[in-house]
Amino acid sequence: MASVVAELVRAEAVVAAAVAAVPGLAERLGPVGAAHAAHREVLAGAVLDAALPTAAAVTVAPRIVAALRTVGRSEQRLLRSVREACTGAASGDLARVLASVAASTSQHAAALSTQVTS
Amino acid sequence: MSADGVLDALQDVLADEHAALYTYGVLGARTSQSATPALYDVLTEAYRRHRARRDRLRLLVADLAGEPVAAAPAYEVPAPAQGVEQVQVVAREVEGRSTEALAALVARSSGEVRSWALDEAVWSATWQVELGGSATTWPGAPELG
Repeated sequence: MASVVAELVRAEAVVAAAVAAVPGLAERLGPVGAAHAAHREVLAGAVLDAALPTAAAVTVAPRIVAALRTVGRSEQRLLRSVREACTGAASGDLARVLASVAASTSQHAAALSTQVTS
Repeated sequence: MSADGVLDALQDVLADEHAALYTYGVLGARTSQSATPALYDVLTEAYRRHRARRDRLRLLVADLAGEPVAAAPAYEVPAPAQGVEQVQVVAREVEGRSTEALAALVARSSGEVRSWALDEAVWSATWQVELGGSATTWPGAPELG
C-alpha cells in the first residue's frame, strides 16, 4: 500500500511539472491531478503518517507533445503499481478500491493518448 | 474469501454479461457499418470482448461446481437508442455496469480470478472513453465519488 501511495505522489508531481512546463496543459491535466489527489487521500489512510513520501524533483520538457507523453508514461507506471497491489491485497474492500484506482488511471491515460495524437 | 462468495459474484457478473451481450446486439443492429464504420467497429469489438468474458465466466462457475445462470429471453434496452450519440450513451452505461460488477468480483475473489476480474474491469472502464465518455475518479465504485 505504501508503494501505491508513493507512486500516486510521484504521478501527481509529474502532472504538476508538466503543467509548470506547459501552462496551456492545465485544463487537460487538471482532471488527472484531481483524480490522483482523491485516490491518494483515500489510500493514505492505510499508511502511517511517518511513511508518507515526498515527491522527487521532476523535469518535463516545455513542449506540449513531449509533456503529454511524459505524463502518459508516468500513468502507465502508476497503473502497473496499482494492479500489483490490487491482485495482492489481503482485504477485498481494499482490492476493490484499488481496482477503481486502476480503472480511473487507465481511463485518464486513454483520454490523454487521444489528445496527444489529436 | 469463501467459495460461495466467489461463486455468487461470478454469477452476478455472468448475469450482467448476458444483458450486455443482448444490448450490444441491439445497438449493433441499429448501427450502419457503411454510414458509421468507426462506431460499428467499436461496438463489434465490445461485443466480442463481452462474449469472451461470458464464455470464461461459464467455465469459472463450472469450476466451482455451480450451474451457470442462464440468459433471460430479452432485456430492456433504452429507447430510442439510435444515432451515434444515443448508441454511445447506452454502450457507456453497459460498460459502467460491467465495471461495477467486476469490481465487486475483485473484492470477493483472489489469485487468478481477481487478476482476470481486474483486467476486465479496467477494460470496461477504459472502453467508456473509447465510446466518447470522460475519464472519472472512481469507476466501478460510485459511492467513493
